Amino acid sequence: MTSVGTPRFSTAVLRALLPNAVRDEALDELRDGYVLRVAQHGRAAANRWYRRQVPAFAIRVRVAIFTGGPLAPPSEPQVREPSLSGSERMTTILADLRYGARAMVRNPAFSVIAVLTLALGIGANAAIFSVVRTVLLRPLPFPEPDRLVQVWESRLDRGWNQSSFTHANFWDVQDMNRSFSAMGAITYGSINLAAKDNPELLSVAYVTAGFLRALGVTPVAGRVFADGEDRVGADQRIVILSHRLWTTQFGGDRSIVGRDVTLGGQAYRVIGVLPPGTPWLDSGDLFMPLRRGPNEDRGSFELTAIGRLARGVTITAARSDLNRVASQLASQYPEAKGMGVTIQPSEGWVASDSLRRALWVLMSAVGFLLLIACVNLANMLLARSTGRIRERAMRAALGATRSRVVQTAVAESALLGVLGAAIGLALAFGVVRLLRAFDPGDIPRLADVSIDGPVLAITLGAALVTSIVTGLAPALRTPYHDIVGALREGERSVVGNRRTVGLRGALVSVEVALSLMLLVGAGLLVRSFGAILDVDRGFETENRVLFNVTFPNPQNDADAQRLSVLRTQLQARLEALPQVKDAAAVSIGLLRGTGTGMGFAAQDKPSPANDAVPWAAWRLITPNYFKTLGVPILAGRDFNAQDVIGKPWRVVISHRIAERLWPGESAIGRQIILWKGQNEGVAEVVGIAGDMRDWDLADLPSFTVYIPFNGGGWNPATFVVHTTAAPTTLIPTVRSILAELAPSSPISNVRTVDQLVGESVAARRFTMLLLAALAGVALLLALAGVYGVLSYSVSRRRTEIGMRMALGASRSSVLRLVVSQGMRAVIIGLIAGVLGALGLSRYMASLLFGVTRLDAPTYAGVAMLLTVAAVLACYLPARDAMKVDVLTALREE
Amino acid sequence: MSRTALGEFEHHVMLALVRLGGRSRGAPIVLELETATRRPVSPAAVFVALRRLEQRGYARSSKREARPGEGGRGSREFQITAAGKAKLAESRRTFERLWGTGNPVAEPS
Repeated sequence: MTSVGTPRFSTAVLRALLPNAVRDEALDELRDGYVLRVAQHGRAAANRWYRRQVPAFAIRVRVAIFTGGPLAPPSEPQVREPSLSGSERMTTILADLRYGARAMVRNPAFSVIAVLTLALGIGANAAIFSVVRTVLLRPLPFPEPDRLVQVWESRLDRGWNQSSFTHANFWDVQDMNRSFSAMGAITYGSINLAAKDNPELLSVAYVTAGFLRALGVTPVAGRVFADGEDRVGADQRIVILSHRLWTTQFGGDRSIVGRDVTLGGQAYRVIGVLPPGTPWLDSGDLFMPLRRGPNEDRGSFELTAIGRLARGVTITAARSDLNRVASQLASQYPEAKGMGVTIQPSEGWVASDSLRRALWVLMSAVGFLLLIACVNLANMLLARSTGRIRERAMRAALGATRSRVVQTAVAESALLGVLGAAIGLALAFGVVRLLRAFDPGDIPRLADVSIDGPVLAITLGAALVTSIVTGLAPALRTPYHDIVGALREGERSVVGNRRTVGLRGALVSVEVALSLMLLVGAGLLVRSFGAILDVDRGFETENRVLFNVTFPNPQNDADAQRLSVLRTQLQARLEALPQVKDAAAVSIGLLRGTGTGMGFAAQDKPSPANDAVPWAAWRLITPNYFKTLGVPILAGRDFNAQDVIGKPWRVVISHRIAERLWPGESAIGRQIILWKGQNEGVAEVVGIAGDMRDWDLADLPSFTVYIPFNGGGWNPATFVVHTTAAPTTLIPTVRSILAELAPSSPISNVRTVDQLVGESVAARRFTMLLLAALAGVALLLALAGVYGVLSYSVSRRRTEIGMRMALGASRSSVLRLVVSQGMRAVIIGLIAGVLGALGLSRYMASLLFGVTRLDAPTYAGVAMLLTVAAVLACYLPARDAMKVDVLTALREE
Repeated sequence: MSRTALGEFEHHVMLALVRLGGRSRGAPIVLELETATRRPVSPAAVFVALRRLEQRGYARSSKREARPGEGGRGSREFQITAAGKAKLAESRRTFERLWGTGNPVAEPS
């Protein structure tokens, strides 16, 4: 019976692909060729040859029939299956569905597990896909978004690929370019809104008139800024409301347009209301004109610029046009020396690169999960189809055609698929709600994520394809050539039962490999997350709280002086509180992403001409800032009350700056050039502070220059307070002190430093938890697969095992037999999985921190975990095997 | 009687059938053609060609019973017909006439 062992899978595929009329002849002829080839070239070569013929054969035969008519010899009339009319076909499909439903009810455990397996795979996919669709794939809320670009200055001489625009350069580029139909710039600020009890701090986006026009925004009410309204001298007090502010503060009242609102103590006329949307439209509560003055600054990089390409202008053309403008400016103004321009398409506006990367990793992960679910389902259906072979043989004997038998099987698995999709979608709804609840805050549009029509359609399609394909394979295994044998002997007659076991073993290997890859991905993220929390931050977090205080904006120098005094008073009042250890103020709080920057150099060491100027962040600080955050002064001193900004210029620098400028020497008392290449100034270094990772924990500690806050009119100020107990209980006290000192100054952004650290890693935690959850589910499914295959195999080998034990095999040898059979597939899967993970982890490299993508402990740990779990999954059926009662087993035979 | 001339591949298949004693199943013909042409030959092409030759009357086929234990229904065995032999001879004459007596193309050595 085994002389003709053509590769089983290929044969099944070919059988399915060939037309009925020639199927048997073609298979026989190919088998002839196969046998000849085995004799001549060996089995491996023959197998290869055979597999190659499968698609060619099916296609050629079908094409020949299509172009030249049937292939049957003229004498023999063709045997055709009776063709059914449409309504008859419908009836048979309905009958098959009923039959499938009955089969499901008959075997509820099987059905429940199959449906749940599918539901997990489908649900995870629907949920993540809906996120990807909303966050990454939904077009920007602007007309013709492919014409929108972001424009950056570049200063390759300083090593900057992308920098914000200086005011003067922006206006010049806007005037001189020939590529954009509109160009605009935006920068940010804040202003107080007068309200009844507590004044509220609103964020302001200052935009040029071209900005909203470039985006192509149509206001909900009123109008956007007109040309000329962004000139100095135009009406100062006009404002456009964001949709959010309009609905929350003004009740969505259209008549607000044309009325005045009081902002920062002055009346502003509302001229329009923006539509909702991300990005840009939600980047401020209010939009005010960014004005062009007569003598704009060319040294300070402050503006974010966008442009709308004129029709027919490509990005490449625009790039060369803008660089022409840039080199013109560079030759004209010394401050613009080295200037270039970078243009980027608007794709990255909504989701940052790392978020895109993270979401695609998650999308692949759920894809893997669905694959695992499919493999599991295929495994289950295979096992069951073997068990039901007699049933199908019976139907065939009673005259059912092959297509009819297949149709019945497909109807059954399609039913599973639809049920799985239904439950999966319910699951997805739940997951999406959960995701929205766990919003880490920096995933744009997450609140808009929903399971809509296209997601539903794709999900249902995926479920049907999945279940039908997995159901088809076992259905094709009806033993048409040996119906009698199948009827007589039932399950045991199945040809190649060993092969079925082999095929199922291979499926287990696939599952193990896929889940190992997911686990490695999750493991790498978990390790990165641990590393980022463990990283030497440079500052203390315990019992520290930060909050912003926005004083009235100073209008002149005298105001600025008053502001400085107010700040010092508030600091002193805070320090006097019994529960406060230290308090200080800083211009920009910790871990807030972007900030202020400057080039720097040592005055006593001329830097090489074409060396890139290093770039430092700068912060204004009051005395005690370092002590409050637990940062050491490594040399020199902290600021004191006598240090005033610019009188004379004295700075504290971070340790890395000292190392960079004066390696191995003392930096105290040296002169440092600040705002190098801009409006340069020289300052004396009075102290060196410990390094802090105060922008992003994942970045190296920044170069930071600290400047005395004292005497400066910077607003708002971030206060940092170190308390003896739970720090947030302090806030009511702060409010009452402030009500006394500066009644119209709101407190905002109250956060403990622990919270800030948590928020700064929230997106990482989000990705990590999701991937870990997916990997966990994958692990469970894979283990269920291992368990299922083994327990099936044990149940089929009861007689053999009973026989072995009757002949004196020890229980432990039976255990070994079963476990080793299961572990073979697992180990193959482990190896494949490790190789796959080594390859695929490259796509995760940018998401990792503190571990390499080839991190050996992760791989080893995951492999261990899987091995232990798999041994357990193997042990349970093995224990059943050991319990086989010899007499019962033999009697069954 | 010849509606159309033999295609080159059909021609090859018929010649292979003749070389195999005028009677063969498909698979040996594939091997015979591979040996003669020193190229892989698609069994599907031979499968189709044999059946087209049969439909045109140049070959006829009979089913060989399956050997016990082999499964399947047995493959078809093809035999060249008188018409087939006549067609081959006709083709050969046509070729000879066209080639003439001389050697119009130099054989690559």
